[in-house]
Amino acid sequence: MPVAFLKNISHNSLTDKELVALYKESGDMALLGELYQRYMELVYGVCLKYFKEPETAKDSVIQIFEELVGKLKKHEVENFKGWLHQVAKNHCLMQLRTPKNLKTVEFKTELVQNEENVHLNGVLEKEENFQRLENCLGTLIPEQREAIRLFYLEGKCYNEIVEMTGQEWNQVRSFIQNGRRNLKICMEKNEVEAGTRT
Amino acid sequence: MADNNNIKTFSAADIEKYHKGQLSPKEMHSLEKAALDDPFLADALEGYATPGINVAADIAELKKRLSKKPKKQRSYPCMAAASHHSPGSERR
Repeated sequence: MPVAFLKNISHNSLTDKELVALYKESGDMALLGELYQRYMELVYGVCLKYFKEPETAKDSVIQIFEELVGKLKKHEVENFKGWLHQVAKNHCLMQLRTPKNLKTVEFKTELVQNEENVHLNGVLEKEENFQRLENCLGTLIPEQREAIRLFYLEGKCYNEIVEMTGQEWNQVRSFIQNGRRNLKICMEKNEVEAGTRT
Repeated sequence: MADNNNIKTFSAADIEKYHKGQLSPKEMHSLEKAALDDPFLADALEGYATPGINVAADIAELKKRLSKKPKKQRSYPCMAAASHHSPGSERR
């Protein structure tokens, strides 16, 4: 068996799900390596977010891979990417969860339930939703409304919105994040109402 | 890539360019938009803002370190240790 599994990639055309199934069946580390490769750069980014320095983050990328070896066999994994994200976050949080570091741990990330999958992008691009969107935009606080409008309707990036509004970059981002969350709730509520009308 | 649960993927290099201001506003917007729909990407985007990292070198190092893993795993010491939760999950 070749040591350098990264060099023998022949599974490019397989989906994550197929690779997961193949790995579970065969225990072939090359398959797991191939799968991990697809998201390793994201995993490293996540680790950097938590540790804020490269050495611990790099070690964690390796440790997370090692964790996967056993974990993936034990769990039913439908969506590998989403699952890996959780595994990576949990790994980092566990590392950080010592009394001296407690302060730096962002529990928020876990509580916010990012996995709710706010597929707002697709929704907003459908023209028939514009009227509903218009109404829902009206329910947002002005800062959120403006940020959402500039970002989604005018396609401005955060920096441009910073320049246009004079707000801080972080503020802009949270206006958009919170605005879209509120918007999603509003849009879904209206969708139900619209659905009962037709 | 015909990956059904992957619409568009951004590499670490794209993210690095983003932070270095080497993307056009349009490209920045599309990365930001993707990140809003993909919490994994959002976390990574935030992580790569860490000052003092050398993305290309770090990724290369990680690939190298990972490519050495199978050798170590061949005797499956981790499997043996990890399988105490579910006996009978040994390798076929």
